[in-house]
Amino acid sequence: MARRKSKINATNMVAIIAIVFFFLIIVTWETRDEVSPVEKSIAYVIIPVQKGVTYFGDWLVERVDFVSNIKELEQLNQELLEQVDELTYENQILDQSKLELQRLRQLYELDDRYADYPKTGARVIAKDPGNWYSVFTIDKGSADGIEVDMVVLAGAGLVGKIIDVGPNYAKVRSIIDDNSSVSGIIVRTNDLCTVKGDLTLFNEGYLAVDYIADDINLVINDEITTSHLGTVYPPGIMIGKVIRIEDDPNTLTQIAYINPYADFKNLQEVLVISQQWLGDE
Amino acid sequence: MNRVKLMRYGSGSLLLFFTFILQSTILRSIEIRGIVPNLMIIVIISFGLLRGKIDGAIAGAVLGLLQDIYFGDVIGFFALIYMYIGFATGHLHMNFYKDSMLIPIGVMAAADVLVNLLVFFFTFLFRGQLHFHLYLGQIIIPELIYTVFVGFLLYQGLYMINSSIEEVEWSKEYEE
Repeated sequence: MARRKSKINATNMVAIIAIVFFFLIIVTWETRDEVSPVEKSIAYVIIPVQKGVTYFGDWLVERVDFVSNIKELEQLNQELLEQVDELTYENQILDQSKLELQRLRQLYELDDRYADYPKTGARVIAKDPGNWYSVFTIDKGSADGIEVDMVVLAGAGLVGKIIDVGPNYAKVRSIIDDNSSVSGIIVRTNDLCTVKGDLTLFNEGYLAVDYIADDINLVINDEITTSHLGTVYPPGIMIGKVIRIEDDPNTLTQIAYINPYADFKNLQEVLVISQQWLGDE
Repeated sequence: MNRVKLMRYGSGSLLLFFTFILQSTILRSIEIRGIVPNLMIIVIISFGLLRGKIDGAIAGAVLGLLQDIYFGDVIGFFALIYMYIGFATGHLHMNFYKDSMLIPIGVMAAADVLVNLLVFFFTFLFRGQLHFHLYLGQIIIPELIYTVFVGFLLYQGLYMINSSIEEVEWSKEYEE
């Protein structure tokens, strides 16, 4: 039989392929912004199928949830309607203040710090297979004007940034990923801080803020937004609220745990700010 | 003979393709405290045990490459690990009773722990994340238990698919 003979070469073949993989690791170690033609061509097969399966899965989960939660939904609807009334009223007041603010800004020749950024909606189609990273893909790519380092939001909160773009998909690294750190600011006290993703807090869905000086008077429910120091993230995007504060006895600093505004457990739709932010340098 | 080969490799590629699709999409809906089982390990081990080292190595390389391309920081890391896991597992092919569950479960458990230790070593330890016990308790052990549990169920299905394919192959070979 022919197969018996070829087995002698199997070990060598595997070794050769292993060397190729090893070489690829070294080549792609530093950067891989360029999506190679091979990746592109596979994307045309994989992405549509992933899309289909995800849509179907989401649809199924939604149906099941809908049936099992119908009582809760009615109550929620009631509460939300009341909230809409309240918010409409508040919004009118805010609109008036906004006009006033604009007038004053013109007067003082200030820039719009928290301008409206152009946004594109996208759908989450796949997530990292393993349990170590929080990287996911969305169904918009370079064909829709998405570029690396664009910022991704969900609801009111920061989700992450684009790290890789293909023709019809883009990869997003979320801020809860262990590799992620974002320059933030505590809104009430105007103190700068660094918001880090932490895998060990991942299950609870929290983010950690390390090394807050002891003299900063942090309280629960303090809001944290992105700061003006970031090179990727524009300032003023809400990240989350402080829910727990601990003292770090080793470094005489405080550690705060924050609850992100974006719901990372059920990310289905996200917004991409379709404009790259170039920091103040 | 050609049609049999087509069936063998066609079903194999389809299985790999859908393993990756499922792992990256709707598997998230069966997560338990943020942990999902590793279907790819289960499938790679099954390929190695049921079809031998070459098929195991191919399955590992293909699934690893897909993961690297779509989610990895570097290309080749998971491909390398998974390929060798499939290849090494393939050496047990022919050497055990395939309807016993002990060896598949043991190998899956060992492979899952090995992969996660390597990931921790090369990506987390290198960045100075030293709290190994936290990662062990929160990621590695839960994933191990979940993967072994799902693997126990899935292996039996894959075993049956493989036996029916092999049956057809043998009957065809007998005819010629």
